[in-house]
Amino acid sequence: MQPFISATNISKRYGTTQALDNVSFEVGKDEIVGFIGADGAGKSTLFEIMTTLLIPDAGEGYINGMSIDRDYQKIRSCIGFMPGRFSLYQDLSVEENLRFYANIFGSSIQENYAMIEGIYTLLKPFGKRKAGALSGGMKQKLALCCALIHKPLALFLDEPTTGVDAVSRTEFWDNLIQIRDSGIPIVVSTPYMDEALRCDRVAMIHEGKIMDMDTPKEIIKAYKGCLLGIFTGERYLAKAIVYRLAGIESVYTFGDSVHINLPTCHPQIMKQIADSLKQGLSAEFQLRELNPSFEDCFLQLMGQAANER
Amino acid sequence: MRNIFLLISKEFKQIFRNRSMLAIIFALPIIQLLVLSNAADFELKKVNIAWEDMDKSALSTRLQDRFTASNIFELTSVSDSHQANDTLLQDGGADAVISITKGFERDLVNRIPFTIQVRINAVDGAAAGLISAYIGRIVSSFYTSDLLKVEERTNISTSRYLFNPELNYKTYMIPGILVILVTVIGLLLTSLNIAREKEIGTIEQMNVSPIKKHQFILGKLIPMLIIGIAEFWIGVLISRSVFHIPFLGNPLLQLLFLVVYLWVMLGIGLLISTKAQNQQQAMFISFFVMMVFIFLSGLFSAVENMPQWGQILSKLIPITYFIRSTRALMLKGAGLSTLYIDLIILSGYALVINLMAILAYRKTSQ
Repeated sequence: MQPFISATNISKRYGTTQALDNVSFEVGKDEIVGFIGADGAGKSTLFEIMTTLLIPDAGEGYINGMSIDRDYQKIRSCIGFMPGRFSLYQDLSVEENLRFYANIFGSSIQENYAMIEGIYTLLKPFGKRKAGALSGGMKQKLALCCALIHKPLALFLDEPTTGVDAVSRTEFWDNLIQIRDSGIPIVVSTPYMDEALRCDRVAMIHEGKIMDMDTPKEIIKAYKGCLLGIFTGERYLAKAIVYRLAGIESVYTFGDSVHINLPTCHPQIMKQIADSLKQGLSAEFQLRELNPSFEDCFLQLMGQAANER
Repeated sequence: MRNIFLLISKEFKQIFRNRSMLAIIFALPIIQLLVLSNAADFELKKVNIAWEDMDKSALSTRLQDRFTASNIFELTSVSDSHQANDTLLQDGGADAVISITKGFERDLVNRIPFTIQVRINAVDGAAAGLISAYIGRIVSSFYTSDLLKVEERTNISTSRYLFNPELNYKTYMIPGILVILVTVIGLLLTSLNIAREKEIGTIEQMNVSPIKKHQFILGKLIPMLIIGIAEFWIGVLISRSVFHIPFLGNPLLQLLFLVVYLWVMLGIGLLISTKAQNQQQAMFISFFVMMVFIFLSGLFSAVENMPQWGQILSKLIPITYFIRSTRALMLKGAGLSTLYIDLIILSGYALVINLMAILAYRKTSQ
């Protein structure tokens, strides 16, 4: 079966910067696919190409069999796009924005109300308020409603949760899962690692290339070597001590601890590390093996990319 | 068609909610007409002169009385000191110093060419020219009526002023101010409005929708066209009721000129907005363009008095033709038979500039 959304060998260059380098991926009809990467990794460029705002230098893309190059008019009338920054009319009210977006797609609020009901009930009390006067989380909900109101075949959301509080983000993702279950595939980008876990599949993008693309579980499973954590008040000192030891793949501070990536967690090596820490640190510390988180996997992939160059 | 209508109604909703936009639209015509027409007034109302009489004769006193009697001139000082009068010129106490040389009466009576020295503050060259002309007129009328016998008075001409019999400067200025008004609306508001959509990112959202480029552009330009037309006629009403400026021409012909001219300005506004990334840039470029237009248009100074290069530039900017035709239409009641060239030129501009704008707009995105 043909995938619902596909891209093959897409490249785009801005001057001397290669924004996208031979990017290929596929998205099925029942999937939320997340693109994770640092700022400037090429996520927004990829979204703009897939939503027909930009023309790629090379490569092809298809949405439900329509080419992003030749059928761009058709695509524009049947996808929903939420650009990276809030871009609704701030001086129109919530209702007016929604009606306007429904109307330009030749639809109406009533016709597709079922589509947005779950999200819009929260917004309804603010129906007369100007979009510009909404809180960050409410703005995102309104933008999502506007992207959904014409019953699109697919949704493209470029960093929809940037600048939104943690509670609103969780609610937003609950909404996305409902939307997916109603049969609309979603392509979403995010800089937040915790959101990656809620995607069906994740593509890790770095300097215009997709480093890896798989389910979050598989990505964590593929973590190479073993992960040790040092819990101490003197994190930077601990990092400096471990850094000097031989055979250590990578060391980085991670919240309240220091993470060490080793080829294996042999007891002898652990003892060696513990001994050097005992010598160097004045405070108490704890050393134990950890299960890698998604972010550890991301950092490992980024580290590999840096070593390859 | 339906999409364009949707966009226009959205646009009007936004315009009527935007305070600064409303201020520009409604306060601008009133303020410009009432303030600018009074401020940009080149009529000489009162000229201070210092009188310096070295002759002190009966005739020189009679000439002095002539100046005192005139309602333009005011004798602020009568003194014999050349230096004191120079100081007056310098510190602004007098606009001109008239000095009568010794032997003035003797020369006059003997019909020998006589001299009067006039020193004028010429910082404002145009005003100085007028002062000089007024002084000359008083002196020559003094000469003909007080010295020449009736049979000697030949060659006296009278003149009658047409179209603006009271030589009211406002009659000349106001049609031009109306033109500036629609220029501001067409050019500044259009470029600001489109740049605003770029700035807040809504243009991206529009691009990923079934709305086509030309629909988006028309949805932006048509509201501005409507506002521009309304502005102009509000201005005409104010100028008729407040300043009693006549409107002699055919209103329909005026409307035709107005619409064609507005399309030129909307095109330039669109062109600017394709280059500008945000409202600030659009504002700066628009102001620059408008300044050039206004100064070269012949609004404040007659085109004929400009240097050669200025005259050529003046012929190259569309506003010149619209000011000329609006003046002719309003004040002289001119018809299409005399104005058709201006209409053709303006239409040409409308065509070329909009074509350029559309090409530039296309280039910026798919």
